Amino acid sequence: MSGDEPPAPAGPGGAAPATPRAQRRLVGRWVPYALSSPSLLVLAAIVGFPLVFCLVISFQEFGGYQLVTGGPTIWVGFKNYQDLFTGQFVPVLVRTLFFLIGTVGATLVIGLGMAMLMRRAHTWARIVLTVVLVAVWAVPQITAAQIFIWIFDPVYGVANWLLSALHLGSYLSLSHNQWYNYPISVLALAGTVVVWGAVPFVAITLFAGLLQIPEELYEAARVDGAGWLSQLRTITVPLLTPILLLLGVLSVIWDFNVYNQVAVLQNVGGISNQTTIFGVWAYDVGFVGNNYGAGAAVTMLGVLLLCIVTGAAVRMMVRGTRT
Amino acid sequence: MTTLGPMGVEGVAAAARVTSVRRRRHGSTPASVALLVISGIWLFPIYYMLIDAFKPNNDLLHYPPQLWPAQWTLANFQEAFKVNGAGPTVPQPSFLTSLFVSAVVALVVVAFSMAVSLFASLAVARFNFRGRGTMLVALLVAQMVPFASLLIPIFIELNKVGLIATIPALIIAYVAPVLPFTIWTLRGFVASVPVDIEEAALTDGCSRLSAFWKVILPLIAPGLVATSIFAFILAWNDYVYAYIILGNSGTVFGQTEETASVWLFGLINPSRVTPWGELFAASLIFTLPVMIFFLIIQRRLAAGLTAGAVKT
Amino acid sequence: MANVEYRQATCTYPGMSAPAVDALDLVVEDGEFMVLVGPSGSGKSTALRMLAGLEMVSSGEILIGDRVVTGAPPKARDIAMVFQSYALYPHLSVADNLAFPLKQKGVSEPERTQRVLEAARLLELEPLLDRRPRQLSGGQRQRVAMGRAIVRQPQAFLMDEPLSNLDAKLRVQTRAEIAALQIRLGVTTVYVTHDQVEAMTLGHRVAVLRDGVLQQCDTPRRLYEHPCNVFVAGFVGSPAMNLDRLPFDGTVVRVGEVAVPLPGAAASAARQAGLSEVVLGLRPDALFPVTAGDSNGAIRLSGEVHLVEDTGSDAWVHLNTPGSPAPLRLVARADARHLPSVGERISVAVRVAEAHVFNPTSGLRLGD
Repeated sequence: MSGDEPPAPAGPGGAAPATPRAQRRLVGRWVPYALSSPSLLVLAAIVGFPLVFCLVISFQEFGGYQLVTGGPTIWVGFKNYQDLFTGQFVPVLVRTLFFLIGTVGATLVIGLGMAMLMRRAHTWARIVLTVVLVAVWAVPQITAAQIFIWIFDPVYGVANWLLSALHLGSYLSLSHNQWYNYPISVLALAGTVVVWGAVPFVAITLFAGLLQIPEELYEAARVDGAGWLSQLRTITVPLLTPILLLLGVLSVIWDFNVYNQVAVLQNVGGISNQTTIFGVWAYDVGFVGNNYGAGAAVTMLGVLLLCIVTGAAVRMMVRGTRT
Repeated sequence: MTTLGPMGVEGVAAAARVTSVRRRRHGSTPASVALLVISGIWLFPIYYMLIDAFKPNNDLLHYPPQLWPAQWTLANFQEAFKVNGAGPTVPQPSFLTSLFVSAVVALVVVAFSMAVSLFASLAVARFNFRGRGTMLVALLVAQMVPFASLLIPIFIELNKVGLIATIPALIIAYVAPVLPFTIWTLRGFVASVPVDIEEAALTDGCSRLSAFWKVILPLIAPGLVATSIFAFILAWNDYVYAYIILGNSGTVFGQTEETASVWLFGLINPSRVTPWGELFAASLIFTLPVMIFFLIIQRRLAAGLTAGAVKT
Repeated sequence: MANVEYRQATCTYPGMSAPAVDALDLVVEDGEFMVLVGPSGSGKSTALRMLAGLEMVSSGEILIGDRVVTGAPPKARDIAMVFQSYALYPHLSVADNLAFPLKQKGVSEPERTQRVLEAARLLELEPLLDRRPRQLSGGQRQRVAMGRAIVRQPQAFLMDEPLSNLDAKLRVQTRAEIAALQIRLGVTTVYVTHDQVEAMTLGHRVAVLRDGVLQQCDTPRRLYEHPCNVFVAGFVGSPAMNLDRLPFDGTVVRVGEVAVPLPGAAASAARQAGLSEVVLGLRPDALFPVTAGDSNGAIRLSGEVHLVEDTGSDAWVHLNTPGSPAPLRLVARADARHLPSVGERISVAVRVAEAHVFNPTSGLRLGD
């Protein structure tokens, strides 16, 4: 479930905790252990163990038979992975890549634009947008996707009506604007829903970050004759880079694992196999195909890819803070 | 995209605090106008869902679409709450039942994770014990694990234990992503209560337990509220886990319990015409608690509580 | 109300080699105002917290009212504490803050209200009863903290540097109020401060601590006039005592060319110890500038003035006097109306009878 999960905690003001004032043994030594063990147990069982278990399963042949009977699982080494690589891995990855570039890019750009506008606008306009953004943020992904499906309904949808009213329909060269007949438009639509729901968090966070940039910097730049684009390049973006990087990483992680929106859209049209991105793929292989070993392999591949991407970005962030 | 996270919480609080920025330039009108236009665009889908929930079906299936209802009706809501659900071909449990299931799951998840993480955050924030550092790292790492990745192994685990397709199973599954975040956040809140105040309570006649209950707890109340809401929203909004672990009517395992998100998902079915009006009416009801909660947190977080008690 | 006793009380933090408080033996009489004073790191706060039950006692005993409380939790000790940071409950009003300890004790509602009002009246907190701590000024919060302690009518008051966060003027004023309050209520009080002026003005007796070890516990006057070692001598009194290590030949001490005779008892003690050097201590008011023609026969040191501090009521003259191996820096008290100027060469007379002599290695006082 890609969206409704907590992001990384590191962020402005959320730095690593300092050592607490040492408890001078006024309570028994066992107290902290007693307090934290329920959580640790739960975490080990529900996060730690599944991760390891997933890795193990990915090397096994684990299908519907094993699920129902609890029968023996056969160790097949890298076979699951091989099958994936010779199978759908490349197309799915490519599709996911384009999807990611689109969604993460759009989210960051739009979010930044909104934040910058918020900075300059009147307070009441700012409040209006904030309320709207919070309301949008609250909408569940399923519901958002369903609303967009209706908006883009081929016959009764507002989108088509708007396009024809603006005489733009012909430019899109889609026959009767059948959004759901073409994989690219389905994915674009899914991307739009994702971006729609993702922008609020990014915009609000970036706005908070912008507030921390002293006004004097912009004033000095204006005195030096810099236009708004220059100011953006030399002041805003460099100073916001840590936050932008963090938001970028978070967005990549979430959007990579997008499932809900795409699943809802796939439910409408029938071209599932061409619109599957990574988050959906694991589900398809595992549950639809009843091949849990392969599904686990897909999951592990995803985790690996994310680690690589995140690792590079985190290293950049850490290096940035060291200068 | 996420529902809420520690940074988002800060961001929303900052946006809400905006009016108290001391040195303000004049707002620029073009920017404000642009902001209004953007607000309108962004709000449109919600607006559209809102009005379509109140349109009679004839008006919904109407071209050109009405941007403002010509007629208002509550029929969609009535339809949504009918016992035998929507659609002629697929009998399904009622929306009301699914709402109930969602609520039960979400509330238990909140209660359980709050209780457990409160103790853990106390341990981490107030005590220096061996393994504390490792625990903090583990919490960080756990938060970075994408929730979706755990689906398959958790599913298999629960199946082995025979818990699949039961509500307790779903509750257990939701605790996984919730716990690291809540422990981390509550830890921050507990740590921000000065130790002096706790000691003052001790010398004023409290035992450690009553010091916790009467002094620390009230002071971390905002943290408890925020993390409860976060946990609730995660459990309430989720679809994939609810579908796989609890299921829906008519799948292989033959369950008849489902959460509201699964119920809503199932309304769009390629085998029949989607009852849009009913869908949006139900979606509106589904979205309402979350939206209300979001608006609550936004204002609450801008207030501080410990200011002034300890001279700094 | 009761007495308080430390018996060989020691507190060593786990992992530390030296104890924070080392075998402290101290008795605070019933109704006494005892001040624990010392530089930071001296263990005074730790000692206070041991009394409160907030620090562990590694060895030794703590007694309150002749009852051993060493292992008891704070709530069982019947003490009230005022913290340096005040530690008011932010989520409670002033009235509720004051009532909190009474509520814990199970005091009935009407009596609670009455006691809260009494304390509020005593500390002029009545108009503030409904406010929250964050709406109060520093001085007001300090009074609420005191009120919370008073309400309890405990066996002892413990105060941990309660004035250090107030501005200077408020500090002096509040100091007087605390002193008056203690006299009026007659509660045994243990008070911690790093400010020796506070210690001297507030305490019936003052205990000077250094590195966890009790140096001397005496009335302020005796501390001032008979410091038992170099540390106490230099710590108590402002400006600090002039302390210099000087050669001793058996009868006199040489300050450069000048021979300064020592008080009889000190001299014989130094002789008996076979010392060739002693530490001579002279308070600034034992030195006073005189005109050259004054032929009192007093011992005189001369030197060049390098700093004059005129505080309005007092004046202090810093001068350099030749000595060996290096010139000595002395501070002398001068009449504010006849101040020398910087660079002037003056003579100061020495009141030898007020000299303090200390052993250069052990730092202990020589003589009586």
